[in-house]
Amino acid sequence: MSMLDVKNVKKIYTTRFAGAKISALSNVSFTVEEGEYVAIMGESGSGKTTLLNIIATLVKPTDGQVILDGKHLDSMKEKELAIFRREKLGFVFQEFNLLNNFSVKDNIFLPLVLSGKKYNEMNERIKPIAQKLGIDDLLEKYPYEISGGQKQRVAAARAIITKPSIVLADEPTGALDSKSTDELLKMFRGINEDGQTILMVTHSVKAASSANRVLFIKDGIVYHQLYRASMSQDDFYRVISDSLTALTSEGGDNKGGDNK
Amino acid sequence: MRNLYLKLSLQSMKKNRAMFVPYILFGAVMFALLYVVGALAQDSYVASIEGGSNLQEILILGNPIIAISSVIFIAYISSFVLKRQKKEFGLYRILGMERKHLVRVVIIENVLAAIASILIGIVIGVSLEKVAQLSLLKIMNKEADMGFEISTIQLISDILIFSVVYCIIILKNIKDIVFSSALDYMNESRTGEKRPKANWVGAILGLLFTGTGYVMSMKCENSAGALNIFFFAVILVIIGTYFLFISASVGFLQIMKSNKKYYYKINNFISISGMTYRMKRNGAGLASICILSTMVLVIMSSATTLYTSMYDVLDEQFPYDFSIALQMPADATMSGDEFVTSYMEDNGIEVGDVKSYRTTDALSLINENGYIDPIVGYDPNAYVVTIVSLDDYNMFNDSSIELGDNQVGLYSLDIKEDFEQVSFTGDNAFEVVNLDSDSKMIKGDTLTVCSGYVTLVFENPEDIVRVQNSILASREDGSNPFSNNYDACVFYALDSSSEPKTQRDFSDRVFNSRMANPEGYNAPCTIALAGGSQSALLFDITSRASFEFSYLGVYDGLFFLGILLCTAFIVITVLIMYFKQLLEGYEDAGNYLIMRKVGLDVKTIKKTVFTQIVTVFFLPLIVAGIHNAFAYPMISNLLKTFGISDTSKFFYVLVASIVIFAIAYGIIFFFTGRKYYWIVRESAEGSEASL
Repeated sequence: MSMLDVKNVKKIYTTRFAGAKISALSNVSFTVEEGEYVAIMGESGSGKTTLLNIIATLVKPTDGQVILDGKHLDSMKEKELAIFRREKLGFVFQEFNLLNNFSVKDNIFLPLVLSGKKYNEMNERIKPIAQKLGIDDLLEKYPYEISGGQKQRVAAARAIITKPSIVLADEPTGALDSKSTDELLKMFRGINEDGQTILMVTHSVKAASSANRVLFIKDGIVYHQLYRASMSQDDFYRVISDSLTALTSEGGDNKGGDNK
Repeated sequence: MRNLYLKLSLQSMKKNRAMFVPYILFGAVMFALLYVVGALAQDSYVASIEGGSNLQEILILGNPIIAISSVIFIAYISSFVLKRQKKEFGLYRILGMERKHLVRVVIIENVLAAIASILIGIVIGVSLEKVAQLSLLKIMNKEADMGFEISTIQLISDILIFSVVYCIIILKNIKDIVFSSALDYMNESRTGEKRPKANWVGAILGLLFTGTGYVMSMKCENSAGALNIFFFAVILVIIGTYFLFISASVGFLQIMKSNKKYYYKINNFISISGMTYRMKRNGAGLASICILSTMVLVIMSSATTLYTSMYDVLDEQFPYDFSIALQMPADATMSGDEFVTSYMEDNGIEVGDVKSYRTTDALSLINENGYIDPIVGYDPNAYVVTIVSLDDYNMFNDSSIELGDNQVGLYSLDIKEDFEQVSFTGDNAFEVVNLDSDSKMIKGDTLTVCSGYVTLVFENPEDIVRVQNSILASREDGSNPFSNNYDACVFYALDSSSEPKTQRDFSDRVFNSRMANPEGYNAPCTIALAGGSQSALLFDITSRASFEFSYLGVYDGLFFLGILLCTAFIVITVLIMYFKQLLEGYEDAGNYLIMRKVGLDVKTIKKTVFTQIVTVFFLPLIVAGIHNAFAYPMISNLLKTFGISDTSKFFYVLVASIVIFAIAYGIIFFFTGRKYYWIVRESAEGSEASL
């Protein structure tokens, strides 16, 4: 069975004032297998962040189903969802989303504390992760005392400390310089090689090329997808880049066309 | 170009109206209050009423207090406004505005705000002054004044004061802009952040200062002591409060944090971190709220106690309209009763029953064994000891108390020890019988500068004479601590049905003629009566009406000033709370969303954040309550300066004030808190829609 199964998901926003409807996702279906590292690409406004938020249970779809690790998300209540979010999902956001009132260590502990874990157990868990992500020295600092790249590694540590079914990353390299980006992507690959399923939304070709599979979203539907197979990262980069150029230059002419 | 800046300023003010409107109104209200106090202090109608000039002297005291609070808090609140605008300024800078352009925008904004504040302030002030004057007249039971008066001098001087205030604020804002770069502005929310560290030196200093202030108040035993320490103790507690809120609070939370088992529980985890963060940022603001609340409570309770106690004080000190001390020569041709009655009637005072009695009093030190030592001069630890015979006591009190041989009745609210006996120099010792009520004879206003009253009732008048003589004999320097010779001087107490003004004019006339006596106020004199003149060795008249007149302005004035100051302080408290909640709201909005993303359900977030907000805003109130509890001994002693010997009333008024203020505080919190929720919800929903 797939780790994640997205079936015919639609999302329509109603603006607050005019009552006009805006369709963010028209009809999206795809699956992610356990241990996969999938990137979703698309231009701004293509609906990719909406899709991620639906999977993250932060937004409810207007129609369709999302099944994660065998659970139907639409049937859960807010309280169950909160528990589900912190136990099954790990998040990495573009703007890090660390809480300034907690130290780095406490930020990483946050989801575990929420689940009522003992301090000793949390301490045991954080050690290997901090070492792997190279943040051992930062644990006692506060978020406003460290750099953007460091913050993103802390956010990644927070995402994987709960041993989630899937890590959801939303433009994780968006706010990073190229060196930090490289380090973070390398780290993502490392985590993935340890068996962690990752779903990443990005419009950076470089970030996408670190994944094993890339889905392209356009106008609210999955428009195209590419497998890395045995390609090197550089080759994959070129293929993705070419597809992207083709996609954008085609513009709206290719409406309804599906290259899958 | 000039138009562009004006446009930018107006736009920015409109966009930030949630900050500017309260800021402008705050300036206006402070201006209005300053004007009301100043204008009432010069109001010609108020000056013309009974007690009016006394009252105006007291009102003038309010002027510097309100002016200084205006300077401090308008500057404080303007810093909130600037802080909120910084991001926008950063954008202007990035879009290519130079510092000098930005300075121009800030100057225009501030000048506009200042002009608006002063103009609205003038309107509120002038109308409020009339309302205040009418309510003042109502408080004093005087006829309403239908005239309308604007004090131009006061208006001009207040405008000058406020112009200076706003100039200082503008200079401060310009300095802020000149010394920061565009990036500083964009990152304003992130820079300047320091990790919460417990400042133990500060915490200890806070405890030390506050504790010393508390101990000084607790040790306070008399009104003179209270007057001496009052300002020092108040300043100690104010400094201590700032230290406590800024340092000790974070230190305390840090200790809780170091207990890992306790800290890493979901509720504690979020609350302690959140509180640490809040206290670190809001320490000074919360300390200000706490000090202001304390002041409101102190002023509210003591002014109300004073105002409602005036006639009690008057009744206690002057139970009769007139008291006359008279010592006639041995060859007098008429009795004292006849002399007093005819003298009063000659002067147009109608005389009712005349009671005659003997008494003497002396300021005395009393040691823990009950040894009473009358002193000459002044000592704040001394008591006014009034001596009276049992027959006179029973006559005044309509009682029939009996005392045995060698027994003395004692009544005092102020002596803490329970004496078994009292003694005087020369083997004069008496067994003490405690009495339930004071002798209802005229005492005068001597309480103000000593530790309290003691009344001693002797069974046998000869004992009084013997005690007085043996004390006088023991004084080698011939000094006399007693107010009069018990044996020789007779007192007369009488009520009169004449108009109070007639009574007062009469006593003023007597006072002035006695003062004019070249041989001294208390020297023997000759008094002209319709039936021939009569000489007296000692003759003095005390009138209740003239004391009532002088008390009236003072007590009412203090009450009224109390109302005005409380209004000012409550307005400041509301404003600080409003701005704190507003800024908290903006900062919390982002955190809400992050916590939700990490897997906290909305209900739990709401619950813990609400607990934090409530704790943060009610902590100052609780500390204010504690401050008041410790200030109680000091303030009840201060009230003795105004003749209030029974302070149980103050206690109840204080408790009632705390309850009323706590309710009002809760309401203020509720309304300013809605703003907080509104911001949090708005931005949380806003970001949900943009997901």
